[in-house]
Amino acid sequence: MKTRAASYFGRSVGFYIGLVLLCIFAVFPAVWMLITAFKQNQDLYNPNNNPFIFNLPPTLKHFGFLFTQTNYPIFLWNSFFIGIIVVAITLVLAVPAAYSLSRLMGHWGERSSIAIFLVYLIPPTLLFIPLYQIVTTLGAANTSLWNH
Amino acid sequence: MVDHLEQRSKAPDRADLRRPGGGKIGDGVPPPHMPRRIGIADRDGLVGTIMLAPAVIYVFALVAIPFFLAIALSLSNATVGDPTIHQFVGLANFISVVHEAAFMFALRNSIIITAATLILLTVLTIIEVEILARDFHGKRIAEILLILPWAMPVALAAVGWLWLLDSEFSPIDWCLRAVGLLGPGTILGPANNLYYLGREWLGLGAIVVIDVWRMLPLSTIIVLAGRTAIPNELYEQAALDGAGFFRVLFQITIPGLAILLTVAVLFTVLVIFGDMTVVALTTRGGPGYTTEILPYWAYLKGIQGGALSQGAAVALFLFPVLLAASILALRAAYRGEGR
Repeated sequence: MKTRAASYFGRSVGFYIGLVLLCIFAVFPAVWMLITAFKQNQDLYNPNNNPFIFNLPPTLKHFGFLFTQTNYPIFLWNSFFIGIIVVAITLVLAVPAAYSLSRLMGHWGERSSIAIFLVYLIPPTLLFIPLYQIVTTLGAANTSLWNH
Repeated sequence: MVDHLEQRSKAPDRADLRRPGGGKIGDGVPPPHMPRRIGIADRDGLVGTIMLAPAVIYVFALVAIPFFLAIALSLSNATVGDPTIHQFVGLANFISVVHEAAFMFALRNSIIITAATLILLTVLTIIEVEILARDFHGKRIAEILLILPWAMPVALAAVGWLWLLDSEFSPIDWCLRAVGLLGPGTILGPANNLYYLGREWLGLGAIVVIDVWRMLPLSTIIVLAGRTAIPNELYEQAALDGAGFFRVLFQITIPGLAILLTVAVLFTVLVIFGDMTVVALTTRGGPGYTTEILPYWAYLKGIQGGALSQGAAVALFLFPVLLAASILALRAAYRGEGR
């Protein structure tokens, strides 16, 4: 028969082990990317080096490469541009619809919101083949908004 | 007139109280229409329809039309070179895709990955929720760390994992070598590396771990909301009665969480089963076709391979599973609200 104190101690140990393991699992890939970003190539490409410490001094070379040798500014701009447009369209369409469903449509609102939810569940994977077909038919494949 | 105004002002409240599937829908008596001049802005139904229309049209154009087009494509002989539908070939595409070995691998792996992710995710969600339901020092920091995978875009996360599971420079392999489990003459040896993404079952395992990793924050948040709703008296009573940890877990916590856990789990099915990013960026379906999954195979076949109609046929195999999962998720959600 375990005493109360022993059982409390056992639970605390289990609790902290669980907490620490889950936290490591959650952050490890990100931490590993972060360490890698500042390591020198010779350090990275030696399988005998301890991967978690800087065996050679840290470097900013990779960031220099990113900003000078790649089209990173364009990628950044594209992500930013797409993000803004998507948020804008979503808000313009969704806010009036949400108000309408919750305040004005009553009973029909509930049914429609279920229907909208179901639509959301159709995965993009199922849709991208026909969407690709539409895009090709419209002649827009492999073009951007600006450079045709 | 006063009566009428009162009725109108009450109407939205009543709409709030109604719950879908909660059985109270029928009791809402519509306000009696008194004769009075009504402008367009007063006609809730009309304004509602106008406000709803843009969203419905958008969804119809970008989801419903492509969806029916997918069905039409799967029954036709369209290719990327000639994407217009000239001729319907019946079920020929379905028959020919089912006869490919790669399709069978894809179907098997989609089911295995989804099922394994579900089981692991359910267990880890319960553990994480139990941890976060308590108060401890540094809880805010722990919460931020635990939510981190959800804040990372899928593609970025997959690239991170790709490097983490690298065939030569994986730090996991380094740790295993350091403790003497990997390398010549050890249990996992004789090679110096495990080649996580280059073997059938390790590759599938890696995909499951990545999927669990990125879905865990969401399911924890969903289920944690339910955990805080379980009255504390139940736990106090159980403690007084001398119930042990597992007894409390299985007889109070898990039954109390059942509905939200079902919602979280089914939502995960929808995301994991239809997603191809992780596989496309890590194993790429290899070695051979042994870690192929349905969405990625549909992409390879339909867009990379140019057989639009066959790709659409493969993608349509996703639909019955997703439909079943969404119906179950909705039913579980409404059952929860109805209580």
